Formats: sequence, C-alpha cells, structure tokens
Amino acid sequence: MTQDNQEHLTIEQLSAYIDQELSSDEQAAVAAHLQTCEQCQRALAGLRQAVLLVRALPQVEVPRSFVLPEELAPAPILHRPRETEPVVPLQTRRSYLLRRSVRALSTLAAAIGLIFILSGVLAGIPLGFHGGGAASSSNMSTDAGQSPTLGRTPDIMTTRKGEKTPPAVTNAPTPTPGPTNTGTHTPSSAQSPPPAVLDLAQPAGRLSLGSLLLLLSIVGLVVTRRRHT
Amino acid sequence: MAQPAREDEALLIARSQHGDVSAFNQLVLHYQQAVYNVVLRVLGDREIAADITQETFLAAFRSIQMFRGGPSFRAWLLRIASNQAYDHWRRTHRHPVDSLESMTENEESYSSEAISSLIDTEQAVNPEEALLSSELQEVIQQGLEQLPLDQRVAIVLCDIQGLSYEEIAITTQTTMGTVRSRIARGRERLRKYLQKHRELLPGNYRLHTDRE
Repeated sequence: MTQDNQEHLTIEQLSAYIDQELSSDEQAAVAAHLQTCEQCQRALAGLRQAVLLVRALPQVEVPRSFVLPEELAPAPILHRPRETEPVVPLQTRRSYLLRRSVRALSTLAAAIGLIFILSGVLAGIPLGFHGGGAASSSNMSTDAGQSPTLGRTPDIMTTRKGEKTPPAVTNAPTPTPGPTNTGTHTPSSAQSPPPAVLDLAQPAGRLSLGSLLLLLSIVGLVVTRRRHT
Repeated sequence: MAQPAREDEALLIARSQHGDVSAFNQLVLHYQQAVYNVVLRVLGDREIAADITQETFLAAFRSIQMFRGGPSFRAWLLRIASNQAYDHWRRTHRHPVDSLESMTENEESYSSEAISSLIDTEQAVNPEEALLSSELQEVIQQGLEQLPLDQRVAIVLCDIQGLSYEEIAITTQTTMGTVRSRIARGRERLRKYLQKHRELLPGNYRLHTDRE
C-alpha cells in the first residue's frame, strides 16, 4: 500500500493516462496507484471501454472527391494589390489634380456667371437693355482668373462660343456678341474702348459677362470630362 | 492512408501558396478523409459534412498564405474544419441550452437522419470495426452528439483522428490543460451515456458497472 491510496485518481488523470499524455513521473505514479486500488481500476476500465467504443467507429469513406476545380483563380497573394496600386496613380495623379482644379474653377465660374445672368435679367426686364456708362475695369479680374482654364483649350472654346451664346442672348438681346469674345481673349484690344456689353453697371453687361462665364465653365467641364474617359 | 513524406508535403504547400491548384489538390486527396470524418462525427450528418468539407478546402486554399509551415499542416487544416463545424452548429442551434437539456433528459430519442447516417458504414474493412453493429455505431454517435461542442471536438480529434493533445491544442486554439480537461469530462459523460445502452454492447465492450 502506498500513500497514493488516500486520494483516488481523478477522471482527468485516468483519461490522460489512457492517452499516455501524462508526464513520465505522473504516468508511473498513476500506474503504481492502480496496482493497489480496485476502485480506480474499475473507473479506468469503464473509461477505457468508452474510449475503445469511440475509437472503434469506422472511418467513413468520402462520398465524393473534394478536389478544387483547376480553373480556380490563384490564391490571392497578399502583396499583389500593393504592387499594382501605386503604378496607376503615379501616372494619373498629376492630370487628376489638374482636372480636379479645372473642374472646381469651372464650377465656380458657372456659379458667378449664373449670378450675373440672374441679376442682369432681373434688372433688365423692367428697364430694357440700353447699355452705356463707363466700364469698370476692376471686374475684368474675375474674367482674367478664368483665363488659365481657357488657355489649355482655345480651339474648343471658340467653336462652342458661337453655339452657346445665342440662347443666353435671347433672354436679353445684346447686339454684339462678337466683340465680347475677342475682348476676353485679348484684353488689350478691349481695354481702350470699354464696350457696353462688359459694363457691369448695366443689366446687359452683366448678362453678357454672366453668359460668358457660364460658357467658359461649360467648356471647362466638358473638356475635363472628355479627358477623364 | 499513408502520411505524405514531410518534404513532399512542404513542397506541395509551397506550390499551393503560389496558386498551384493541382498541388493543393494532392493535399486535398490526402486529407479529405480525415477532414470529412471529423466533421461527420462532430455534426452527425453526411450531407452537411460533405458541404463543410468542401468549404474547408476552399477556405484552406484561399488562406494558405497564412500557413507558416508550422509543425502540423493537418492540425491547421482541421482547425479550419472545426471552425466551420462550429459556425454551422451555432447557425443551426440557436438555443443550445434548450437542445442540450432536452437531449440529456430524453437520451433515447435520436433523430432518424443520424440513424441513416450510420447504416451504410457496415462494410468496414477492419474486422474489429465490423464488430460494431450499425445500431451500436448510431448509439455512439448519439453519445458524441449529446456532448458539449468543445468536448465533442476534442474527443473526435483525439480518439477518431488520433491527434496528440498538443495537436488538439493547436487545432482548437486552446491550452493543453484545457484539452486534457475537455477530453476527460467528455469521456466520463459518454461513459455514463453508453452505460444506459449497455445491452447493445458486444461482450468484449461491455462496460463495467462500477458503483453498482
């Protein structure tokens, strides 16, 4: 009789003993205890038979093959997206930024142009449309702010200008759309005799300037969209 | 099925990591039996076990980059399988407490699909396995299924797949102490369950009726 007899073996000890998963010391101690303790022997036998029954369950044959289709897309390699990602933006980032700023400027121009048109129309309806007075050259700066946008696409601008100006003019007919166009393109020629159409004090002036800005913005937006696709 | 040689397996894994499906399929052929049987014994349904086995290999191929060439590819694979089985069990057993209680109260009532799942397994090659009647197999399977999921998975991995406690700890992402405890508690519960059905047990498996 050893002193181990005082405390019976736990189920956990017996279970691990069956699997030989105890440390060699523990394994030996359990074996020694089992030699003398009938109660633990029976507990072990009961447990072992349950284990044997589970282990006797047959391996079931697979009902089919689980191989994957050969055409399956290759396993996603983690660094692959990072490789391709910087390549595309590096080339497009500059033109993208340029496009963005052009679009922003065009939108701004459209907003200002609409305000001009609106104020021109509102003021022009009761008063008629007789242009006159001194030109305020300070307002030309608003227009000049848009010239970088224009500079990139002068050819498109001139073609579009002819088409788009008439509808704006019909609201409040301005007699000479021709000089307006040349005036914005080459401000030096327009400076000496300030035409009435650019006089912001007059509704007609605001109208024509507004429609001009609107036109420029449309051109800007159209051009950037074309580049985008 | 024979274990593939270490270096062969490492090569197949490396090729699979470069997207080689045919290399991965050689691993599938090696391990499909083990994966299928683990899932089948845990969930007890052949159709579901087949679906989950397929999902397991698909998930394994997709995430094989994550396998860092650890000690056991089998344990890694079985971890995916048991996780899938866990997920399925949670999806289909929304009220685990209720079903567990009803099962332990009325252990005789086993589902018919679990019975049919074991009927065709008679033609076992091993004569020792042939000793188990399909009825007895079904009782054992029911005994497994009334165990809490953690204990069931641990016992299936240990006694049906022959994994070491260390491999089970890797597979179930727990400690060896927990594995030891789960297996012991599961076996004790299973022993009590099988004792109630001892009239079905063949002579050499008859359980000792201790404390009686």
